[in-house]
Amino acid sequence: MLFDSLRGLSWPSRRRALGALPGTHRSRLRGAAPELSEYRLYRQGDDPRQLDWKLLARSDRAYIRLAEDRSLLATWFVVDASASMAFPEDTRAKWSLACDVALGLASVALAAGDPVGLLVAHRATPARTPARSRRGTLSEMTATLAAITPGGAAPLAPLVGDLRPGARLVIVSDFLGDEPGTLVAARALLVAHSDVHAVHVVASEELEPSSRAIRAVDPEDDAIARPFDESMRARYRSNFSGWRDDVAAAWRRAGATWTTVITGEDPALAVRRVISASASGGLVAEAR
Amino acid sequence: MTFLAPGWILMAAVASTAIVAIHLIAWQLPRAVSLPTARFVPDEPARRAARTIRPSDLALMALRVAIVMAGGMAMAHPVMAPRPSGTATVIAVERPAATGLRDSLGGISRGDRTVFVVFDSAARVYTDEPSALGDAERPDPASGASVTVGLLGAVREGHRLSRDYASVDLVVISSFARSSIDAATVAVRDLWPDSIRVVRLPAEAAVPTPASVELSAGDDDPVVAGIRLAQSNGLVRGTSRVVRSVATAADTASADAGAALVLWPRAERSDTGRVDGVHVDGATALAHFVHATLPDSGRVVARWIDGSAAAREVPRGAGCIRTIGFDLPDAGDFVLTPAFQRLASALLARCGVAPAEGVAADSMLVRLAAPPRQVTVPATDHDGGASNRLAATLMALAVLLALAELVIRRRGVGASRMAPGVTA
Repeated sequence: MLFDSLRGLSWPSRRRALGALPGTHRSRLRGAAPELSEYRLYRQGDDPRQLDWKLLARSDRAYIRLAEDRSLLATWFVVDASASMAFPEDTRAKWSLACDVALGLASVALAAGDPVGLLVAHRATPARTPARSRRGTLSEMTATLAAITPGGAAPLAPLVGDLRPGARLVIVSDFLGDEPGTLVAARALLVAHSDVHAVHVVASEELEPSSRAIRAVDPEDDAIARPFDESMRARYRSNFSGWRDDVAAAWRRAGATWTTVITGEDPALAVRRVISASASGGLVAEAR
Repeated sequence: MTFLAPGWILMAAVASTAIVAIHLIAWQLPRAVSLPTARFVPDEPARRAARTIRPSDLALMALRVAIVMAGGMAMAHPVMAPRPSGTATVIAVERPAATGLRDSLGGISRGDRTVFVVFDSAARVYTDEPSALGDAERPDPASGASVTVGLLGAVREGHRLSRDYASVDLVVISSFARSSIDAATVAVRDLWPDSIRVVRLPAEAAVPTPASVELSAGDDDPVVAGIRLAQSNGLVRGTSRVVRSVATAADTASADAGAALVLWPRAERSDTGRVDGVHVDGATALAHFVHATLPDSGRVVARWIDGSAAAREVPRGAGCIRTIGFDLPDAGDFVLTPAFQRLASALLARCGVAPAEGVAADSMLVRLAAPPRQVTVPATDHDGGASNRLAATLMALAVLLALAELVIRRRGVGASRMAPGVTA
């Protein structure tokens, strides 16, 4: 159902791809594509097959015929499967939405022929699915995510730092773990012409906690256990909203797109918003 | 153990109940709920009060109750003494004893223990009746009895006996002569919080003086009977001649010779008179009186309660003529009462001289007998040394327990601060 609603979508890269294999994304390479882009004076070392012989004959000048190349772009999904994603405890709506968004974006990328890989930050040993574009990759990703139960406090930064530059990276997380380290790693990739997309998953229960007096305990850090009642709601909202704004601004300043998806939202719509943020050159596409 | 101020125990019990009630309101931490964004919750201390059927902090509660109870018991002034029981009687007897002392003593109900206080100008304590009677009946013309002294001794013995006996009765047997009452008598009486049984006896003449009363009437005259009774009680002093009809020359001659001629005309026997009061010599006699006429001149020796003269006296020769303006009806026993005997004593006194020995008014006796409105409790020992030591020990115990409570509470607060998310 989700994949059907996303059929026909294109998800162009915001940056020129470094790949050599032909694909749908604009490449940083200019070669012998049928579509003329520009002429350039021949320089020693250029491929003589790209010489425009007719122009040489007319003007006695050697020009290289340059064309816009299109190539494939490997897309990596780094999905946060820490304990905070298993919220609420009864529905695990954050984890479900994160999986749906990742799989939906993967389906769009695979439809364009791009290889898609998956990294799941989960406890000590992260789950990894190599970047492939063959048939069955989506099923493999689905099986991998379905086998995972969020838990622990696995960091995202090491996984992001291990990725090769030039690929497209989609981080699906609530960013309540090692967000500063993850941003540092992502910034390194952005500098290396990677296309980074941050998808912030927020539970509606996090935006509006229960009105009953509770003792809020951080599932990833037992040391954080604070009484919460109605009198603290306004300040909690302010703190949480301020943090979200700060983090989003930091990621956008680094060159990444930032999209917040909230549990209860249609996953297909969330995927479209992520793609829309990418197509608009990284402009913000917030749900709220 | 008894407590001199048990109200403090009651207050401590009420305070302890309040402490237990406060401990029933336990501070409970709210239910722990997983919230990934818990870090954005303001880090402020917050606890919720909830009632519970089981007291919290049992050790602290027990300590606090113990502190309050120990302090309350210390303030209640505990006395390690056996609980008093039984009754005791303190009988104060005036010396020299008046007529009828033994009869009066026989009519007094005794408690488990009887102490006698024989008083004149000093008070002596006897524990056996024969010794007390022997002292009281010993003649001593020079001694003047003081009811104040007797009351002081009786009250002192009463307070002493009240430590060992649940009830102490005070009895004062005296003639209650006016000279035995002084300004301090009432104040001394108020030292005893309960009522005092007052037994008045006819006063003995301190100095026997020859008394001579000539009566010119038959034995069926009630006034004559009353005068004779007063004479037998020694209340009539001096020489007097009572004339119940018309005075003769011989009667006048007796006045000339120095006697008091008392003209006490007899009224009609059918006249029952009316209730009135005659005030003479500090005492008022209330009875049915038949009024008679009085001469307008002469010294007033008795007055009706409205102030008019009831008896007058005019000097004559060496004596005087005293005219009585009332008579008594034949019916009634007023003449047998002490009131009439005091009245007769005053009316038959020597000429121009007040009665040698007046008696205290009945109102004074009523005042002495009734419990005081405001009790003046004297400072008594009550085994004070041991009591103070016990109270000091209890107070020291309360202070020690308070220190222990402070230490335990500080530890409790420290432990709660160590707990995550919990602040005191």
